Amino acid sequence: MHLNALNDVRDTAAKLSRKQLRGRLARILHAGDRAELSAALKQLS
Amino acid sequence: MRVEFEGQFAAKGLALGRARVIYSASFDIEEEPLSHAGIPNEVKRFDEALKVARAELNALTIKVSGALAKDMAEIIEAHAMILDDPEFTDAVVQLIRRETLRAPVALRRQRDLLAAAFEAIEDPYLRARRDDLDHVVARVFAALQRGGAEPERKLNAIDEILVCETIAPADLAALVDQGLKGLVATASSPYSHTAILARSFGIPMLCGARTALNFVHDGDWVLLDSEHGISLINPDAIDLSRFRTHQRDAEKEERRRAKQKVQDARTRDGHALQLYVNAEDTETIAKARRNGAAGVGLFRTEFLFLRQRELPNEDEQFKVYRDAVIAMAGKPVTFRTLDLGADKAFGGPLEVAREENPALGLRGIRLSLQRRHLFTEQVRAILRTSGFGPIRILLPMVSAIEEVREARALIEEAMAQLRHQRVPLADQVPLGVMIEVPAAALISNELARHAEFFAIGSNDLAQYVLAADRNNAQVSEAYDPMHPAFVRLLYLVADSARQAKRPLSICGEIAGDPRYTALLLALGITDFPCT
Repeated sequence: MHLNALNDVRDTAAKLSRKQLRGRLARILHAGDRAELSAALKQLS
Repeated sequence: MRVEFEGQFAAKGLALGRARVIYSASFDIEEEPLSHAGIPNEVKRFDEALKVARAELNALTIKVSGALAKDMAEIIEAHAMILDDPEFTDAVVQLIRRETLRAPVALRRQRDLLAAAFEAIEDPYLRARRDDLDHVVARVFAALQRGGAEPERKLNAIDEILVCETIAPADLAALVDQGLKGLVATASSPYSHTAILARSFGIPMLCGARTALNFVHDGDWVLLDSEHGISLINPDAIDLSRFRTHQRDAEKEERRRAKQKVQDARTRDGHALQLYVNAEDTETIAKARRNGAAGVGLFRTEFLFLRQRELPNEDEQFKVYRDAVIAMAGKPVTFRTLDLGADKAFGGPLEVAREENPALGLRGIRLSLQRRHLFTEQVRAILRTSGFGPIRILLPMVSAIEEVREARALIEEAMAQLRHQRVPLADQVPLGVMIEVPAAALISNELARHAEFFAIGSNDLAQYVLAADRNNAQVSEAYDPMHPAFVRLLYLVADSARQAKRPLSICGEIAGDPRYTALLLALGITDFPCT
């Protein structure tokens, strides 16, 4: 169970660019409700 | 004859094996009349059956070991709680007395009442808890019919695929130990404890395969392809050829994953992630190390205090902690000091008064600072392991700087005593703080001057910030880590850690859930202990 979680997080992270994610942080932090937050996060993945 | 039937995906995988069919105990009971004089005897029979069922669960707790012991213990505990729930037990006794019913009939009637209540629940996870009720009732029912303990279930051969209505998680664990390859259940759900356990064991499971028991017989060849929601009885040559191809692909993917060790974890643009494991047993720790885990992110010391009738002494604690440090072979192990409160400790070896609201009560570091001898003894046991490899100490439920100062003073005093006794110790043992109380998050910039590292306890922090108990179904919607307030608080802590150059990790459900990985990386969190 633990190792599966490690592998899943690793595989997901490998598809993401941290630089791009950090660039979109402002939009995440300014989200006022869950819908805005979801929309901001959708662009991350 | 080749027969294909469908079901619902519950646990991933492909399997080919001989069928082992188990029919559930029938609840078809003749309602024989009962005289008033017979009531005490029926109540006694029911009480005896409850005792047998409890004893069976206790015996299972002792038998279960290995990496899944903790998960299994929680499931068995959930079943034991149903056996002690007056809504279940008292109600059956009332039915025997008021309606002069025999014990099995009263039991069936109460089960039907509770099952109807479960069926009315919309949330699929909570509705799946009906499975637990059925397993417990079946256990008591079987004990009533037999009048004694249950004989152990055994496979006829290894590589069998179990076909049944449903099976209790503990029974599944025993059959997996004997070499079970897969499971087809005519009932159950992907949210049941049985399905959760099947996923943990890595054995394929299909649930809701309603017609399966009409066609399968003991010894039939069964091909189970749970991902596509199908199962075949007596597969033909084309089926088998397709199975071999799928099997080869799955093995290839498994090998690819095994090669790509955890230490290679990086983002697409090359930023390294530190992936830790949260574990208490040496077997899992050693396996995680071989897979390249950066260390043990969280060793929950309270499990030692909950498993025994007596409080563990310093030497007993030391041996368990030392084994974890040795298993990690040079990579750091983070020991979280006792995180108990009245909700967990009440009735255990640690005497704690019952509290109205244990989540806001005497728990974590508050309890440790009130029971200083206990804290000092634990800290001594932890510090003694520092001669065997790198360790860190983590304080739970911190809400004020004074608590960190007080704890540090006690730790330094213990270190001085041990040095005086010539016990080999590391020069320094980093002290960290769990950020799980909003107060700690809000003063995290100050706390950074008093602690060498932070670990966000996301489960508790979310429920304190959102004022929603994550185990309370009535407010489960309010408990949502994707709440802007919670996300902003996470950022505040991440920013304090970054400015003070303090390592920051996060634990709790969101740490090991890939749906949150992008959010955590965006916030600047790159240490993930996964549970």
